[in-house]
Amino acid sequence: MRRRSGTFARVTTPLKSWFQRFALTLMILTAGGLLIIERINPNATQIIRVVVVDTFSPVLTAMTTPVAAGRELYNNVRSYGSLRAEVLELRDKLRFTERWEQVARRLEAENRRLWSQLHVTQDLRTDFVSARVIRDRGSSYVQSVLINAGRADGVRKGQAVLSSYSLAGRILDVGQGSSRVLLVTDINSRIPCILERTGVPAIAVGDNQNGVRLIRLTPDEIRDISLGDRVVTSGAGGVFPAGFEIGIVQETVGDQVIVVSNINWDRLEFATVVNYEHPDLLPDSAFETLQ
Amino acid sequence: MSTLIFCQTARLKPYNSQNGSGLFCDRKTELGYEFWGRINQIARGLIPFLLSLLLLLVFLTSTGIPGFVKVAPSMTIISVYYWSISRPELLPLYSVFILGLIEDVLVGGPLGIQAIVLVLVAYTVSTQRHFFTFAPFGYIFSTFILVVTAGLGVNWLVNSLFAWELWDFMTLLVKAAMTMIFYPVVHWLLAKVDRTIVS
Repeated sequence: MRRRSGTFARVTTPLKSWFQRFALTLMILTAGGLLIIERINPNATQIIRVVVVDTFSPVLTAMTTPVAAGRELYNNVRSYGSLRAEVLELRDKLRFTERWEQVARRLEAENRRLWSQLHVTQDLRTDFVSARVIRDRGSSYVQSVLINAGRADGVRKGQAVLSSYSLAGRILDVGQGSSRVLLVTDINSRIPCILERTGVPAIAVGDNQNGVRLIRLTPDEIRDISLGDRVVTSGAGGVFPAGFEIGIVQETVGDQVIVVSNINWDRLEFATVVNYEHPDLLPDSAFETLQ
Repeated sequence: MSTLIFCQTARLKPYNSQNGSGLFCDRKTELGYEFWGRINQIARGLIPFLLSLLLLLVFLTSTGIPGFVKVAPSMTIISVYYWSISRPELLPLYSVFILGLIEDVLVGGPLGIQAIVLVLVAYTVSTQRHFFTFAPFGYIFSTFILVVTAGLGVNWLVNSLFAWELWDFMTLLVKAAMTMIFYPVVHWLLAKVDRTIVS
């Protein structure tokens, strides 16, 4: 026994001292290697990301719960003070919504009639999964959030994520019980969209702040844009369902079209993952390729 | 020649392992002490890493405070700096590297950037450790200002190179300032843990 441990020590001691001697170099080379590998193929390091996020998401969820409860309590106490004003505001909103409901019902009936006349098949299946945001937007360099829903809840890579009825982003990494959402405001986010009023297609690119820029527009198309124009997903390529609001045009400066979302990015508490299936369009493997 | 094994508690007298006749402590008890002593040692050794991880997770938790995430203090730099001066043997370079990788993943940034920064901080500080022995807090804090500026600067530079875009420099300065503001409190907290639990 003693002899075996002696042999073991004879082998491990030089290895240990060699490792200690070159530890710094080894670690910097490993980290640099990871950076390069990820730059070449973002999917290569996905397994590390998924394992780490899955391991820590229960802790983050547990830590978020008291914070969320405290925030809710604060909001409740604050809202008591303005209860009367809020009731009046809600009554106004209700009257407004009732008017719109009538319009919507009429349009829905008309739409259904026209669809049936054109014999259009609606093969779109959409489910929703709601989740809590357990990690705020990344950092100065990244615009992503963690949510506590994963593969076990039916979440898949590439799915659209909504908040306040607007597009918040898409699923980037999926773990068993958690996922990372790349927000539309991230500089790496590219979403096919259209300007709803004119029907002009464009690509929405994040500016890493609170907004989105539109690219692939000609000067004439930019001239036609009015402030307040709604920008929605076009559904091109089948990655996202069509018609989800991305935001409204806030300003145009030269060839820059700035779009702002109605999502309060600093108070993103819940997110809805849209399980969208369109059999004629992209298969699941296509989402992997898109990354 | 009989081997004398001493029980860990000073009050107990030596035990002769050859004839097995314990005076106050038998072989089973001695093994128990050995086992729990080892567990105790491992647990104490893990405290710096676990504490750094806890600080990281607390400041990563969704708070909903507008804009806080961008300028949140870098808790891992504070923790790694403290332990590299106080007890570098309890937070070796590979632990620091793993901590950096975990932070990179949870923040969602490119994998490896914070690992490089933390390993550089730990290595630089622990090799210059003799300058900090019996140094007043003012000296440790002023060196920290340099370390955090350099560390966050490296992070900003590598991120800029990675995305091939110059990121907002002002946010970096505010983040560095926030880290410096939080340093005295966290230093005091870690020193308290160091004295009461680890020592």
